[in-house]
Amino acid sequence: MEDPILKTVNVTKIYNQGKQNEVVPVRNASLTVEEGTAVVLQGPSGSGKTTLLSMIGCQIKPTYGEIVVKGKQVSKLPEKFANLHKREHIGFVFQQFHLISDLSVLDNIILPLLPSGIPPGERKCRAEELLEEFELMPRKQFKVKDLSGGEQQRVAICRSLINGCSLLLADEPTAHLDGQLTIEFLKYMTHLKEKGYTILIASHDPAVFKNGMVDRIIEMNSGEIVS
Amino acid sequence: MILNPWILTMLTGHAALFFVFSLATINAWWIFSGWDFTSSSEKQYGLEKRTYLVSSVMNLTLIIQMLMLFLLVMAADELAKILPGAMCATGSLSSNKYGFPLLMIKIGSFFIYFVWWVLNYLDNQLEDYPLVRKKYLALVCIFPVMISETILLLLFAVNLNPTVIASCCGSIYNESSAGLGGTMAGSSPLMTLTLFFGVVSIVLIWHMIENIRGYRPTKKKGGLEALLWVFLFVTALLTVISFISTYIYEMLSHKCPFCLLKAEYNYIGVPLYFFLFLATATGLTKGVLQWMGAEGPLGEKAIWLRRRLGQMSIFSLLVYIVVGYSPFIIYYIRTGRTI
Repeated sequence: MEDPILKTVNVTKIYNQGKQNEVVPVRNASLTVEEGTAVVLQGPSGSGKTTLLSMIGCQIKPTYGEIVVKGKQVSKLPEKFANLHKREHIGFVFQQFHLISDLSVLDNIILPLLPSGIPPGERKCRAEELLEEFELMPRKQFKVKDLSGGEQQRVAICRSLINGCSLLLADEPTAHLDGQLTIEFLKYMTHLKEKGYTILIASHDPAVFKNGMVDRIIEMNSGEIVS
Repeated sequence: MILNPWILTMLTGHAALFFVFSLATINAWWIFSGWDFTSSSEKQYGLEKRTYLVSSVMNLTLIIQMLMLFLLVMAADELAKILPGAMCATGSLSSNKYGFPLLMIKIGSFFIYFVWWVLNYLDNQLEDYPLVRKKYLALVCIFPVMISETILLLLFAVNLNPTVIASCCGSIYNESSAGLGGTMAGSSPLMTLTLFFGVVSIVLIWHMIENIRGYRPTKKKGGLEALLWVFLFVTALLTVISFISTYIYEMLSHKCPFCLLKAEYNYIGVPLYFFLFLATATGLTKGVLQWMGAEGPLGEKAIWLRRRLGQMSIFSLLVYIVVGYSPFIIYYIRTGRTI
């Protein structure tokens, strides 16, 4: 059996350790995610989904425990290398889209590649492929603020994929979308899964975890994985 | 003690650096004694966070500490204005028995800090902190140097006395005077030049041999190279006093290595010493890196870094030679004779 693309062992995050306001958003979280699968982290607000996702995405470090992505223990990477790893291997779709509203669609998508040293021609070429794939080509030069919510969501997905990542993390991606846009978002996720992407979604939206493309649901409660 | 702005700046600056260095040393010892990279425990993550902090803080601290050498020389030069008899930094530094030992330890520590700084840089180039234990043990070991600097600086500052007449550089760097200054000034230029250019030739040949395919660097060769650069530095200083200064001042009796830094001599000492220190620091560090030996990814990075340091040291040495020996060449072309 192949090694999983993602493995966490006893991952724990403690804030304000030893103080009166100590918080443990994630406690001893162990999970594995196989390559090419779609997994949902499900649980109520405050169950630790976002914190766990942030640790997997190298945005924060665990207090202890191991996080292994593609065979590399990313939880121990020094800041500089963690950023490099994040830039090259992880795609992140946020709850809020975090797009720059005054930049064009194309510029927003290209943005993550600016520090990578990839020549401008290739950057544009990659972005246009994604624009084509996500049916955004006619909106290429539009400012993001002039787009609809669904289009902005698609721009955010394109931006997360531009680095050529194989692991896509999405944190409550449908929280701001209506039913129709949620269905559209899941259609694109299904498409990405078929292309071989590994998708890990943190969500408490039934439309997401009941969707047919989801291979596995991991339930979290009070910082712990319960099933 | 003289409450002079330069002295106060030196003392305050050094006190701040000493405080930071002390905290870093305590942390360095904790990291050294508790480090286990294979562990994912809370303690190890804490140490990894701490190494990031200590490494960043020491990076800056050591750069400032290296610059403090130049601040000391500038301060000593300014103090000459208020110390009777002193004409330049030489007079101030020789006005009590702690001045020159302070300068010497500052020069020595400059190179030690530079080596550590490069080691730290190398360590930060890799994902698995391969040099953490070595570099923090080294930091703990060099802390006594910082303590010695602090003590000597305090003693130098406290014992500065504007009522005592200091010596001028003409009397210290005079072949008839006793002491190290007199001995250096009295050295035969032919002998010092032969020594210096002899070492320079060895360094250049060494550099060329290293670039030949099939050359095998060994730890022993690295150690030898480091020593060679130290020797080159000493001989270079000797030639500055016994030969180069003569053609800058165009006076046989004036051999001060500090007056070169003055505006009267177009600050020629600034590029001269800058490139000498840079050449020595990079050449010495290159040797130390080879002496330490490394394999795997660290070895590959070390090879790349050694190559860069080697290029920088040779370039700086050549610039030093051009800057230092151009007054002699200009004088010779102008007059058709030597002094």
